[in-house]
Amino acid sequence: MPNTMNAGEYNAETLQLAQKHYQIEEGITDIFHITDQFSVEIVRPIKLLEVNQNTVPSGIMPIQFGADPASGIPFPSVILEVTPEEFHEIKLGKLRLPNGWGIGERIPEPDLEAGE
Amino acid sequence: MNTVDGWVRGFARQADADFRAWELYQRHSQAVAATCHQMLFLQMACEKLCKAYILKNQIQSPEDVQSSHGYVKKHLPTILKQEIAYLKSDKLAQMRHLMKQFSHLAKEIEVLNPSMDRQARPDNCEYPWDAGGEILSPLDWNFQPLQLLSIAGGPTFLKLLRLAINRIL
Repeated sequence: MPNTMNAGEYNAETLQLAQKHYQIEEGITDIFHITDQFSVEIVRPIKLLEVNQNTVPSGIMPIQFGADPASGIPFPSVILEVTPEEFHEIKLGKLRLPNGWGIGERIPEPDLEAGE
Repeated sequence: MNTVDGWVRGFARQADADFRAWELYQRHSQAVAATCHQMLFLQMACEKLCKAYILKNQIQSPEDVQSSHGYVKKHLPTILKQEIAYLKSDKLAQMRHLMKQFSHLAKEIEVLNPSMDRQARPDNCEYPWDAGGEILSPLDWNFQPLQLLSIAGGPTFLKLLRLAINRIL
């Protein structure tokens, strides 16, 4: 749970960012929220694990982006892209996430037919 | 500024300088001795940009990222995807075809470095290579990324690359 902002806002932004990524990259099959029990940042970044059929294997190598409130992204974000095979290895524990990180809830795709 | 921030900024500044060289060559083509030099600056800018974003997360160390010239094929599409997300566009799904092109470009830019895939892709922007007994030179090579950058989507790729560099500086 974020510690310096409204949790509802944080969750809404997490959903919005993930759904933007679903729309932009057609190779993404699943996006999960990453939980981080050791996060100590004043403003916790949104952390997403994205399973992407179009990416290449590289192990666990997340990249971090800053916030951009003017663009409607008010929180920093961390994106970890993995192949479906790597995701399978993560679930089996063969490929380990950084210490304290866990796979949270799956974020649903946007309902484009409903005009989202 | 802590050490990590120093490394991130260091890689970001180098990416910016390399990409400025590319941009200057675009505007002043007479200044380019050969196209391979222009491509070298593009490849270096992309590689350092990816390394800056990786280091920002403080999981990989500077030593880790300096041991490879890779990262572009994997991470540049992610960086550009995030730049698209920053755009206030209500037509994100229409950007999908661009993402495909960006991924292909990232793959081609990565192999411009001679150390990346010598067997399958010996063509590169620095050193001559043996193509079945014929020695080919980067000076005479038609680089696929340069062609891809000149068609639809290419200018958007360059614009987003510039935005991503500015954002991390």
